[in-house]
Amino acid sequence: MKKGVLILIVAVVFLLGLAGWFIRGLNYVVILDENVNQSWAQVENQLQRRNDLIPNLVNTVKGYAGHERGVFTEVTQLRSQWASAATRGEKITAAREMGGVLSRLLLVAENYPDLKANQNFLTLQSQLEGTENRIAVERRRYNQAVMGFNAYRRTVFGSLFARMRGLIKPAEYFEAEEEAARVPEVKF
Amino acid sequence: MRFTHKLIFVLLAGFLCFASALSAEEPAFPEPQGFINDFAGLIAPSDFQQLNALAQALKQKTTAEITVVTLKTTKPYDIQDYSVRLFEKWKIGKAGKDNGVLLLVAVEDKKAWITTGYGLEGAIPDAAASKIYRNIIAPYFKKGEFSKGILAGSIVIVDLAAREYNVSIEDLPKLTQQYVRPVEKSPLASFIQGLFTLLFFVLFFGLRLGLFGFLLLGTGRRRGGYWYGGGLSGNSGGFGGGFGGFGGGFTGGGGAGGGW
Repeated sequence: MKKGVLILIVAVVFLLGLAGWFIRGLNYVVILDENVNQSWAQVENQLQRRNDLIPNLVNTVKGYAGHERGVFTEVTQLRSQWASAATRGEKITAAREMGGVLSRLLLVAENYPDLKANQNFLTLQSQLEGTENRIAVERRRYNQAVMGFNAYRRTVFGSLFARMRGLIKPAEYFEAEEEAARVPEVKF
Repeated sequence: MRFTHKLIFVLLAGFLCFASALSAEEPAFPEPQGFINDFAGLIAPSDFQQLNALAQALKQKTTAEITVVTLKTTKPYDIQDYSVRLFEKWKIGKAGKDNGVLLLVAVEDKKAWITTGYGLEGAIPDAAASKIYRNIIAPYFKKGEFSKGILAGSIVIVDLAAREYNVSIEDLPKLTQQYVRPVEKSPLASFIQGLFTLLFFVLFFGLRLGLFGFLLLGTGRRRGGYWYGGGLSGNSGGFGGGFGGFGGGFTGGGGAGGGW
């Protein structure tokens, strides 16, 4: 009789522990997922801020370099591409391309000394710089959150918990623009 | 038996070497020593005291935290990236308010950067940070007067942060007078400004606050002697409390800086 009670207690404690571990696992994967979403919201804020700066920047540059049409149409296109992007992947693609085109736009500006001396342009340029810095910071944090989530998804029980919560797809990384690092070609 | 021992020893030694090589990959960030961390040895003792007192007064009155860090180099990171990572590690500013600001000087790289926490981006926008660097810090640094440049820059940063919280800090007006140089106006600029002021008065009194005069009200307003605003009225307040670690603030990468 005494032995039976002992076994029962051990079994209950064991089951409670198991249930606790199970619930924690189910919650943890959701927390990681929300972490990714929240970091993405920060990235998106900064990308939106950059997009809001663009019309002013384009207008200022146009005033001095109106004939450099290629860049302007590309910027406009990418801007609407960003606006119509529905998924995170599409937004990342649009944002990366926008980064490349913007650095090209600034390079175009280099050829116009009057433009470079324009106060409005200088202000816009420094605002854009600040925004790019912020994008870089938030992007790094987002990628860290993605790594945390994706790594957990691939652990032995993590994959089980993720599947049970319907988080089947891995989160998408936001790599830095390669175009920004490459020297843009200048057409005359 | 002896052979197994040797083997284990060799393996262990090899593993330790490997582990230390791995840890050497990640550049170490220093631990904070206080508000003022003069790792490169640029700050004169009297300025150090002054800076520390300012930082403590600011924290006491506003909870905002200002930190000065001097380094030889930020390599392999660039200064902006290093600043943000250091900010993240030290968690400068009060948790939730994120009201920290970091002034980082890398003397061998000849670069300085001001990084603001989320909560101080309004008080010190990037444009202001950039101006603090270009107009106040860089002129001193170009002459090799690092200690004074850091002090002058910090005074302006503290001033802007204090204004955000509508508090005044003892000694600040005096220090501003002493270290922060007024922006020199070109003679033409002051002439034009004088002209506008005159025009303003003529119109204002001529039209006796008619619509036209009213419209021009904005034009004639005189600016203060310093680019960032007018003077501060003095107010007493004791310094107190030591450095008890940073509060847990975050930065979004705001701020600006440059090279000299």
